[in-house]
Amino acid sequence: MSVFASIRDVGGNLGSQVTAGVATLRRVTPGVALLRMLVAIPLLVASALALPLSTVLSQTFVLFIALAVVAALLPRTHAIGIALVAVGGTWAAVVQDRPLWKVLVMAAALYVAHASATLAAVLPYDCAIAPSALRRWALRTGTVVLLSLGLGAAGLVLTGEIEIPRGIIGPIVGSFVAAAIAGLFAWQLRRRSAAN
Amino acid sequence: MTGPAATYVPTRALGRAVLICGALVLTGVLLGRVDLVVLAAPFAIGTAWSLRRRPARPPHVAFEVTDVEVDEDATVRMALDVSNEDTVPLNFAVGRLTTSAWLALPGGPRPYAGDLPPGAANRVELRATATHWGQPEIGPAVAYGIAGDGLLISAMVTADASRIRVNPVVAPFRADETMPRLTAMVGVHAAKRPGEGGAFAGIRRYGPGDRPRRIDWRVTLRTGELHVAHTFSDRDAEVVILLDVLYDAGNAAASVLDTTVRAAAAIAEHYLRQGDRVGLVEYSGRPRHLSVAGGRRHLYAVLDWLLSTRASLGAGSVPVFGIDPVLIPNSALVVVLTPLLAPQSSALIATLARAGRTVVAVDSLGAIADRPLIGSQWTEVARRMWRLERENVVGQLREAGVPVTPWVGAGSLDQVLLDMTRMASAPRLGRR
Repeated sequence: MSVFASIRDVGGNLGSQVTAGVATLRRVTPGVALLRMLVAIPLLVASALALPLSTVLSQTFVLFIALAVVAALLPRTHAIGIALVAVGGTWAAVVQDRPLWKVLVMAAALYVAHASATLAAVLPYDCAIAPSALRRWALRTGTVVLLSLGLGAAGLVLTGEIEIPRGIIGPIVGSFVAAAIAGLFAWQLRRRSAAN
Repeated sequence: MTGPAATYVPTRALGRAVLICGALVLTGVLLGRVDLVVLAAPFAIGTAWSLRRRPARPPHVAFEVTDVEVDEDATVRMALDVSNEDTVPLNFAVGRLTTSAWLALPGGPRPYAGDLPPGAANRVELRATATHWGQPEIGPAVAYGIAGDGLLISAMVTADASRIRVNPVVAPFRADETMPRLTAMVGVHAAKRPGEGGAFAGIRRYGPGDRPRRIDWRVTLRTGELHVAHTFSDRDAEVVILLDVLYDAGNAAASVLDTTVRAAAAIAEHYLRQGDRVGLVEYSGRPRHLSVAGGRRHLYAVLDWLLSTRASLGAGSVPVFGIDPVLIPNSALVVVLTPLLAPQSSALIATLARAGRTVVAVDSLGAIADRPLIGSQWTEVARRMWRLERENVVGQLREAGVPVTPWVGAGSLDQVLLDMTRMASAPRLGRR
């Protein structure tokens, strides 16, 4: 096969792939598109909060934009996990100034991105979703966010007023709390439902 | 019609939630950062809330088809039902009904998702257009349940597929000319033999055996001798339609196979409605036949038989069989619907003609032969050579006494039937 024939084949394959991609995009339903946007936009907001203002306008932010877009396009992969860890890790490592509103918005953004990606991962891209079902999901997610932020805000205010001695006891107790939460999830997952 | 029962399994998102929650809490505790615990709080609360109730049974899926027998371009109504037989509500139940490519759904086939309270069912009404004759498959329908806002997912449940009948649109067809050969003593065709019938043949002198009601009084009074009006006898005919589907050509929506089946349906319907008897023979890799019979019920049998017609052999395959001569009665008019693409087809037609059968070849290739081809400079040369070869085959068939006519719908067979009838009624030279 000549070089020109090879180039023609590659061009033909590329053309057919582009055509297939456009056809796929045209089949995406509004409900699924909304979910994917609810993955990308909160991730971008969280990235903007986690990075210093100077970095937001630099090339580093492009990496976070790419992560958010990939997570939105491929919610069934590890991309969303990597994006959440990257943003959360950046927040933990970089951010020094942490006012209450910033923490709450960050917490809400990370959870909304995770919850949207969770649902987007189990729904086909061309799925017609009943609006009532989406409304109920949004209501549940909003309730979780509000409840968590309420508790978080109360915790932040309380811990701000209480003098916590820094020492070995705190991390040990905290580790037990983390282990208890993980154990609780494991128990929830393994327990038999009443119907069984 | 559901598959085996399946329980709910955690999705990747559950592991992610636990991992991020644990990592944030642990890091927060180790670094003494309460803000990280606040970041982990929605993950912990959301996951715990989602997992508080867990369904055990997957949804049930079924589908219903209202129109199981339609004509081409008609609407097929279907409904997809997904129900929740568990006591725990499902956040989402996703159902999808797969349909054949010949059943066009507006916007294409797609999954449908909705929430399902315990004991409730979601019904999606679908309307498809049957775009092609045949027995298109509807189904299988598949469904799965989503609980815990996507943290748990059930296995797929299925409902078995079923088939519907889509009858071909019958092209308008009439053959007003009489048949070259007739069989039974009664029927609708005016035979070339005098007898009791409706077609006027002429006036002749009265003879013994003539019925008095046939006396033509005007001629009798004018001539002074008894004269009677005599008629041709009405007879019926047998038509055997031979479908040559060794090879197919053209695109999927308008192929040789389509033309063949539609033409066969039109010819069979025309002659069966006239009261004649029609049989079908398929010349393909899996020979089939439908015995010669008449009547309205036989028309349904013909249509049913035609729906299973497939082009069986690809290029390069050589059929090692012929047509059993017993299947074709001696007195039958054999209409061969053939694209004349295979040498075996023309050989079969010539063999039938030489065996004394009355054969008409109808060219089912049609406009496909003139379709523009993309290729090298030699493509057009090759096409010209192919055309010459084809004309040669048609000429050889005509020499063997087989008229070849293109399929053009109504009146396709009139001229050839007229010619054949004249030839059949003409005196023949016998060999000694």
